[in-house]
Formats: sequence, structure tokens, C-alpha cells
Amino acid sequence: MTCWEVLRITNGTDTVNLRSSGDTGYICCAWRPSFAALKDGGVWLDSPLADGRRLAMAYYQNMVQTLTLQLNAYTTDDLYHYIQDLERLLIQARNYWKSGGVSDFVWLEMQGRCESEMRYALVKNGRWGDTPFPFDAPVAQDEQTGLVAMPDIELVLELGPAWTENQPGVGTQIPIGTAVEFNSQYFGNVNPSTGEVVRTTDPDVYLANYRADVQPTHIFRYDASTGTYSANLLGTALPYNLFPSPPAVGDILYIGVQSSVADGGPFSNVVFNIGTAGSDYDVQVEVGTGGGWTIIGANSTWSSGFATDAFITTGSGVISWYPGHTRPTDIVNGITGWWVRIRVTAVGGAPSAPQQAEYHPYFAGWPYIDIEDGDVGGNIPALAELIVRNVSGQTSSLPGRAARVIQLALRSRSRGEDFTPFLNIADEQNPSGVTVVGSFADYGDSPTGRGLASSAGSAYIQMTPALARAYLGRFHAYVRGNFDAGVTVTDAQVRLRVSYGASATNFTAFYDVTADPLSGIGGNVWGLVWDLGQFEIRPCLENDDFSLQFTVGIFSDSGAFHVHDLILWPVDEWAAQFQTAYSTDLAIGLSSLTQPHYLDVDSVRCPVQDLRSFSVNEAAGVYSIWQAIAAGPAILQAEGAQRLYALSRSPTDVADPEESNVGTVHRVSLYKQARYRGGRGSR
Amino acid sequence: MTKRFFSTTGLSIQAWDPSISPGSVYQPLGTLVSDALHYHVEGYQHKLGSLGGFLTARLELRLPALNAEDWFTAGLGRHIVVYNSGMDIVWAGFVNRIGLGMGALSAERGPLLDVANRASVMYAPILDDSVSPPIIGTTIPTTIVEDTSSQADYGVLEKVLSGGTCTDEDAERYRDTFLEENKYPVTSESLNLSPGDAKEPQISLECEGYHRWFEVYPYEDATTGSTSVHDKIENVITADPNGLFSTDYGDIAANAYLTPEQEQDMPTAWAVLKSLVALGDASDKRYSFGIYADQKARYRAIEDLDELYNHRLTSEGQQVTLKKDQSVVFPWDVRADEWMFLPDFLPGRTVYSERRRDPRYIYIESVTYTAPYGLAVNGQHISTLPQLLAKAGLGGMA
Repeated sequence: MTCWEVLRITNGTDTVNLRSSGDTGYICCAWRPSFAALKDGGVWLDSPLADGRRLAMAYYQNMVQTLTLQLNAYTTDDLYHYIQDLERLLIQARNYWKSGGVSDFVWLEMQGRCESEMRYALVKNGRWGDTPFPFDAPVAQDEQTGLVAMPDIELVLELGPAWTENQPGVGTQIPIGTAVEFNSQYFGNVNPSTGEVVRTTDPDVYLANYRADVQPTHIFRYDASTGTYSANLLGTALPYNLFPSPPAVGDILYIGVQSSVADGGPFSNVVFNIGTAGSDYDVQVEVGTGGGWTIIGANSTWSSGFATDAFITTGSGVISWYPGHTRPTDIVNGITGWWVRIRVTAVGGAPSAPQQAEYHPYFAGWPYIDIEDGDVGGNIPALAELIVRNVSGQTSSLPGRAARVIQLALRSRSRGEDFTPFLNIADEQNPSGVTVVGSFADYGDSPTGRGLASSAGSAYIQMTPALARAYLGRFHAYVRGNFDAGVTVTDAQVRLRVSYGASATNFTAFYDVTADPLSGIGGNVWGLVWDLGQFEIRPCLENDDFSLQFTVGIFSDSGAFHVHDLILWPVDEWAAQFQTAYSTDLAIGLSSLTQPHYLDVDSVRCPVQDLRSFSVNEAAGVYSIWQAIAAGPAILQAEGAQRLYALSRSPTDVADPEESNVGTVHRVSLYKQARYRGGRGSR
Repeated sequence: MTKRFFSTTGLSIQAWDPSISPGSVYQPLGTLVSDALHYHVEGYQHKLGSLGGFLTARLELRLPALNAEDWFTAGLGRHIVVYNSGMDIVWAGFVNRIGLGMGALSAERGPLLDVANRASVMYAPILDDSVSPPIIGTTIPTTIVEDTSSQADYGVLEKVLSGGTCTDEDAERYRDTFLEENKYPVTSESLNLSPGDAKEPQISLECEGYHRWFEVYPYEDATTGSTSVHDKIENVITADPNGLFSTDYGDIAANAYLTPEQEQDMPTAWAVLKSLVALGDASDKRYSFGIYADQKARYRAIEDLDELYNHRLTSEGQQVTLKKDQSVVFPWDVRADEWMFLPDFLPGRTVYSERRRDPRYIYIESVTYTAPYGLAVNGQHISTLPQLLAKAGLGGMA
């Protein structure tokens, strides 16, 4: 354990030590550290007709610390220079806040004697008390006789409302990773042998725009020179080549899902991790058409087209595509299922095969990142910064997969490990405890490949009591779907009814709403969203044995459409929406989050702005400011495991925010600035 | 594990410069000015009503001097939109008047709705003044004059003056002078140099809901015959010269009661709408009308609504809850034009099937939210007589 003590004010360059251990300088000789109080003592609801009162709102004031200092110097001049140095920092602190962040900020660093960790607080103001009589001892002591001094100087510092783990403006990256099990195999950021999640700070964690269980069941390498397939690579030790070595024209990598496997279905992305880069070949990506193959407009992190530079750099990457309205099965190497293949179309003089390492290729099928208990720290919510990189891009052949709206929501996992905002309106791929009843059909643009046709009228999602308890809280509800391919639809309407019930047959509706109707032509839109407003599933039912039922009714005046998932967006911990601050001036157009841009949602790095959001071009810097709809800064809970969810949408204009493409994929990184009331100790 | 959840029970407030193409497009969500206005708000209040929808809002902002000056010079007409923590709009409207306090200066700009950049005069022309009394013609309008520069800044704000009896030349002079003097917002300033009265830069925004834009265009229709009330409401909204209002009429209830289609003498669109709402329907039911999020109109029969809210007088929490499941409705989310029930008021009394007979039912005429947690609900009981009288041309909506 370290046993020194720290109390100093700094701007990162100039520092004034307030607890000097030498003969001269400031010595803080008295200070009773105070906690930030509640503003106005909080907002209380206090009826004269009832016992007691109830706290409705509570926000913290700034911390105000009153220090008593002794200042020693060798000369009177030095004495005043010490005061000037500290006052300069206090002026700079004030200027930072007054100017809206033009100058640098100033902070206080503090570590108690034998306390393990340092803590930091922004300085917002500093005020001196009176100083001693200047014409007599000890201020004016003869310089030849020893030190001069100013005893008992009072310094009042107004600090930010909380102490932080790092100096202001600096975040700590949180390692994240997500893994799932499917068909007795582990996928995601995982050790595929043990199932242990491998959390990382590398840009190797992906967010889908839906939730589905499906993962690959078969991966084959086809050698055109021999006309043979490899064994299923999912049963092969890593690393392994993705093409025969050396690659030749006609060699193919097949990735598929066997249709007979429970919860099998189509997919729209594949994540790879390249241990050894390939070189000197061209490829094209094709999907099965039920008897043939068609080239798809795939996008990848290696290039926007994934043709001449597939797998040519090491590390993680993803290819993705818009799933299309239909997804038939094909037979590859005797396996009937949904397939995508990467076919070598040309080679140069010295082609080499890329090698998959560390984990098997997988489908990013989850719209969240997990933050584990102990990852955040502090005792009040930490400030957060989230980097969301678009990796599904948008070109003329890849419509709708660049985000213009990104919604984020935080939810503690202690409220229910099995909670998911995304409930598939399908007869498969839902959490245990969910029963979906309806008449479903195949739709390739659905997360599961299945959906509810408008001709079917309605379906309901029913939850067991055990799962229903995970859904207590406030939600903003959406239903997603699409017009059928090539069909002109007028006034497609979606109705949601939410009901409690003590048994499967005894339900009472408490929320019943019909969304504004949508019209259009299937094929011109790439996923639709119906906004069904907010409701609460009351916490006071927590101890009751109750079930939940969500009934989704759909109909249109003319034309067929389908829906595929109900989204219960949690809004009671932290929820926010970020969207391009677009102008309706069509000459400017909409600014969307396309590869290689990322969205930076930041409450860490710029203290004067509680929450800022902007898109950044990886190569060229800030691209555009995004607007934030959020009632507070981006936060993470101080303690407990939690999950941060994301949902992206791609409205075509400001008044038309309904599109949400299931083919959109993002890659994320997360930073935090833990906050403390009081001391830090070793935490 | 102890549950310790942070709840963002709060509001976020945005300001936008509208995008305007005079006479065709008025898009309030033009260019974002600020998505974090709530961090500067020292005081906030909004009011919703059964006639109008989003009625008014008032924001008190403390800003650096440069920002305050920007708001004062360019803030009129800005679109203000207030979201709850679930990202739903709880109030939206435009800045109609701005107050600035800075040092000894108190200044005010607006109201925007007093601006006139399209004007005409209705007058009775003197046809012959050589006889006594002079011969007076029937009331006619002058031609319209416009100021396109002002329209580009603020949209089309049309006013029709009454010129009384005058000559053609006088009527045109009234019109031209009125346009010249009213095409830009008025500004007034005062200085208070009393010691100790100087102020830090402070801006107050007085905002109005978009229903007020019905007051700045006249509605005329020469078509004879009758039309349904709901069709005429849609016709009045569609006639907006700015294109401000949503053309999604999905929230306008069907009301087949017939009313004359013709309108003459240049009444404001708002006057026409109020008279239409006052008619009720064939059963003399009362209707409400308002402009809500995305400038979408809502017109519906009050008596057909279910009770949405409960309030228990004896609850420690003094909160409004949803009647269906008792979940808490935050004060900023409480809407006018809904019914509220007081379950612990007059306990044990007979529950009447007619809500107007039961004092435990309140129809919310208006609701005023004051940050952080203040709520005032004004209620009224509903009857059919006013609608009956309105059909007879007696009375109407204020």
C-alpha cells in the first residue's frame, strides 16, 4: 500500500501543490471534505392528506470544499508569487466554464494518506478568504531571519458534483465481448473450446440490428482443382485456411445453416477473425437462390465491395448484406440449408490463403454489449463514451443500411438476465419462456426468416411469470416489418395490446394503441418501424405471479405486408436517441452514418458539454454533428452487470423516420469515467 | 444485489431554425440550433388545452452574452420541441416573443404573430361623394401586397385590416402603410440604471403552439352547398399558405354533420375552425381540437373518450396515475383533452353512467406543467347545450 498523500490543483501542465512536504509552498492544515448536497434538498411530494412524503427528483449540487492553508516562502516576493500561481489556475478554471470550453479546464487531485487510488474533481470556481496584515510578521518578516508565512488562509473551492477515477476528459476503455451457444457450438467473442467469453478492447465487438439465435452449422472449403469439400470446419481446430492453399479460380468458402436444426434460419452477416492475411486473389459473394447462385451487394470492413481485397488484412472484420425479401434453401455438400459463399474469381502470380484464427466465423445476431459487474466502479453512475462504427455501409446497391438514427438504452441485468427488447413475431428464435401464437410464413428480410403476414391478422406473444418479471419497467414500443416484395400498400396499420394475466386465458389489457399507418411499395423501403408509444409494466406487480401477453394486430386498406419483431425499448435507466442534425434543404441532403464513419456519443472527454454526439470520418476527422435527444449525460451504472442496447434506423427524410434495416451492423467500443461521492479507497 | 437504478426522469429541449420557402414550405425541423437547451433552462412551463393542443410554453434561459444576443436577434420563430425521457414529444411550438435582460437593459422582441408580410384591407368604397349622404358600395378587399423578404425569414403572415368606409386610394394607403410598419417584429428597450438592478444575461422565450398560425391566414370558400364538419376542417387546414400543418388527417374524427361550405368576408382560419368545433355533431356532443407533435391536427368527441387518468387525493405521492394499471404519469406527460377520475373523492356515492353528473370525473380543459414537478389541472363538466346553441348561431367557442 502506498502511504503518501496528494492534494493539488493542476491544468495538466502547471500544478500547485496544496499539501507541500517541503519548507515552502502551501500546506493544507484543515479541511473537512464535504459531499455534494441535493439541489433544494430534492423535490418532495408531500400531501397534507397522507402520512409522510415521497422523493420525486434528486439532483446533486456542486461540491463546495473549504480549505485552510498555510503558505510558507523564503521571501515576501515568493509568497506573493505563490498566490499568483494559484490564482492563475483559478482564473483559468473559471474561464473554461465561462467561455464554453475555449480554454483548458482545471482540476483538483486528491489522495488520502495510505489511500490506494487518486481521485479527481473539476474546479469550477475558487475564492480566497482574507490574507494576513502585510506589514508585520509573519508576512513581512525580515528575509534574513528565516521564512515568511501566511497562516490560516481560507480557500473555498467549488468543484464538480462528484469525484472521478481519472483526470477530467479521460476515459478508461472497458473490455467487452459477447458470446452465444448454438447447436452445441460457441460463437462470438469466445474461446470456442471452453465457451469462455474473451472480452477485448479491440474493435472486435459487433452489434446487429435485431436479435436472433441462429449461427453457422456448417462451413466448407471447396477445392475446384479436385472438386472436393473439406470437412465441416466448425469441427476443425483453429486456425484454419478459408480457401485451399494456394487459392485458385473456382475455390469457394461456404457458410451455411442446416434447415433441419432447431431455430435455423437465414442470416445477413458473417464475422471473421483473420490470423494470417490472404493475398493476390479476387472474390465475389453469392447467396443461394434455391437452385442457383446470385451475386449480392455485400459490404465489408475490408472494402466497400469485398472483391479485390477480401481478408487481406489481419484482425476482425465482417461482411454483410441486405437479406432480401425471400431466402430459399439450397443443398451444398449434401446439407440442405441457407447458404452464402465466397468464390475466388481471379488470382495473381502468388496467391495465398487467408487463415481464420481464435474463433469460428459467426453471425452478429445480438443488438447489445454486456458490461460485467465490477467493470465500471464508483458509487454513482459513471459517465460514458460509446463509439459506434458503421460496418454495413451504404452504396447505391446497399440501400438503407447506413444509420441516420441510433437509439441506445441501458438496463441492469439484475432486473432479469433473460430480458431482451427484441421479441421475434415468429414461431422460433425467442428466449425461453416466450410463446408466440399465430400463423407465420417465410420472409427473407426477417431476423429469423419468419414473420406474420397481414392476411393472418394478428399474433400474440405470451410470457411465463418467471420471464414476465424481467419486463417490469417503462418501455417505448415499436413493431418492425416490411411491405411484401413489389406490392403497393396503402395504410398499413399495426395495433399493440399489452395485457396482464394470472393464467394463459385470463388477461386484462392495460395498453392498447394503433400506430400511424404507413404506405409504400415493397422493395423501395428496407424495413419499416411502427411507433407504438410508451407504457409501463408496473413494478409493484413484482411479487405477484403474473403473465404478460403482447397482441399484435396488423391490417391494411390494400396490399400485403408483414411484421417480424416487437421491440420493447427500455427507457427507465438511461435511454437516448441520436440522429443526424439534418437540414430539410435538399441541396444539403441527409448525413448518414456510413462506413468508414463512426458515431461518438461522449459524456467523458469534454466536461463543458454533458453530452455531445457527432460522426467522425476515420480518415478525415469530424464529419457532422448529430442531435441528441436525452435527458441527461451518457451513463453506466456504477455496480452490477448491465447491458447496453442499440437500435438503428434510416429515415429517408426528417418527417419520415420509419425505416429500420435488419442488415445494419455496427462495431462498438466503450469508455467510462467512474464517479464517486466521497473517498475512493482501492476501488 | 441491491437495485440502484438511475432514472432519467427529465426533459430534453431542442431548438431548430425552420426551413422556409415562402408560400410553399414551412418545415419547423430545419437546422438544429441546440439539442441541449435544457442545460441552460432556469425555469420552464408549458400549457396544453382542449382547444388548441400544445398551447404555450415559457423558458427562462441563462446564457453567455453572445448566445443571448443570438437568441434575441435570430430566435423569433424558432421551433422548440420538448421530449420526455422516453423520447416522446411532450410539447412543441415556436418562439413568439423574446425577452432579454442584460445589465441595465431590458429588451423585448416580438410577438412574431403581430408581423404582417401579406396584407389587404376590407373596406366599403365611397362611390359618389357629390351627393349627401355619399353613395357607399358593398364591402370589398383591396389587392394583396406582400413583403417577400419578411416572408423568407418568418413565413407568410397574412393580415386583413378593416378600412371602414373610404376611398380606393385611402384603402390602399392604409394597406401599404400597415405592411411597411409591420413587416418585421417590433423591438422595445428600456434601461434601468438604478444601482443594484443590473442583470446577468438572461433570455425568456414565450412560445406558442402552432394552432396560433391559423390566426394569420384568412379562409374563404365560394363553394355553395353543404359539407361535413370534418371535411371542412381539413379544407381549412389545407388552405394554410405556408404548408406548415401535417396533411396526415388520421386523427381528425369523422363527423358527418353538415355545415355550409361557403365562407366569405375573410375570417381567419382559426375563427372558422372554432365555429366548426363549436357545432359538435348531430347528437350535440362536444368536440376538441388541437395541433400536436409534427403539427398534426386532432379533432375528436370528448364524451367518447375513456377515462385515462386517476388521481388519489389521499396518496402521499400526489401523482397522476393511469386508470388502467395505476402506473405513474409524470407531470410533464399529463395531457389535456382527457378524462380524470378521483377514486377517493366522495367515496361510496353512486357511480353515474353520465360522467357530467358525477363530480368525481374531470374533463381536463387545460393542464399546466411547471418545472420541476408542478402540475395544475383545470377541469370542467361537459354538456350539450352549447353545441345546440352554436348550431342556432348563438354563442361559440372563445
